Amino acid sequence: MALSQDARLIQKLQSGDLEALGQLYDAYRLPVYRTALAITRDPDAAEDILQEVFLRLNTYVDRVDTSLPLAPWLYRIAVNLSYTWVTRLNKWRVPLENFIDKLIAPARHNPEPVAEQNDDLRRMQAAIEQLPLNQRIVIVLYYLNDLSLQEMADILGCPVGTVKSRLHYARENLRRLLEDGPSGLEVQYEFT
Amino acid sequence: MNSRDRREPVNELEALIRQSLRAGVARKQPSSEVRRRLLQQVGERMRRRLLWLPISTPFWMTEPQVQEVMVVTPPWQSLLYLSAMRTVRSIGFPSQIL
Repeated sequence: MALSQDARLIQKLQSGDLEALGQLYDAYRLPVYRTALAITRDPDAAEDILQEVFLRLNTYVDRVDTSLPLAPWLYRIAVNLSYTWVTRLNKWRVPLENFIDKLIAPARHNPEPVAEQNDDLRRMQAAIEQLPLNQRIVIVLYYLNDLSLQEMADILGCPVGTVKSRLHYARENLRRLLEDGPSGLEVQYEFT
Repeated sequence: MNSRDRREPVNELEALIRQSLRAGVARKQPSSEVRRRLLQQVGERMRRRLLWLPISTPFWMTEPQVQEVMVVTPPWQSLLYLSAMRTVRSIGFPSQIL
């Protein structure tokens, strides 16, 4: 969607046009939903996050700068909400439930027949799920959303160097997870 | 935002990461219920906000001549007056007491 069209819709929304919100939702629902889904791995949570992102757009529409693209603003909210959702889940979920979830996760998250999926892809999906959350987020933004390092730094509110470092550790961890299994996870130290 | 779609993966690992992420979300999309709920909720908020908007003063009441004519008595003054009158009526005027 062209920037000028977004700006026009935001101005309409600022004047209380509900239809404009519907049009913005239609334009961005898929990338926002898929970003949240790739981070949380939970379709219900991703739907809740999607709805909350657009509720916040409506609430804070007066603060949205129409001279800037809207997508990074939406991604930032989606990433923050996903981050909160995952950290809350990890805080309260007991280890046993975690273990059971890991066992049933492939069946729950991938309803399509297992035979259809390439074994390498499934192993990689499992490895991405095991990454520390800040590494999983940069992997999703970089490889799924095709954002640049600068765009990611703006969305995450950190220096480009930190994004590069997280990407590097994430790739290393994925390589090791594929080779050695879960014991291959490397701790990331950030000095940037 | 998808200007980097043509970015070629550097190695097999990157290609596999991208492929697996895309395969994981490829056919997934939110239900239409989300859109309906969103618009309903926002519509409800807008209606509620409209109810709380202050009623605007008609333009003719802002004219200086009109404002001069209008005698505005603060409500607390009226209440004091009524209360004083009620007291006087119950105990009588000073001349009647003396």
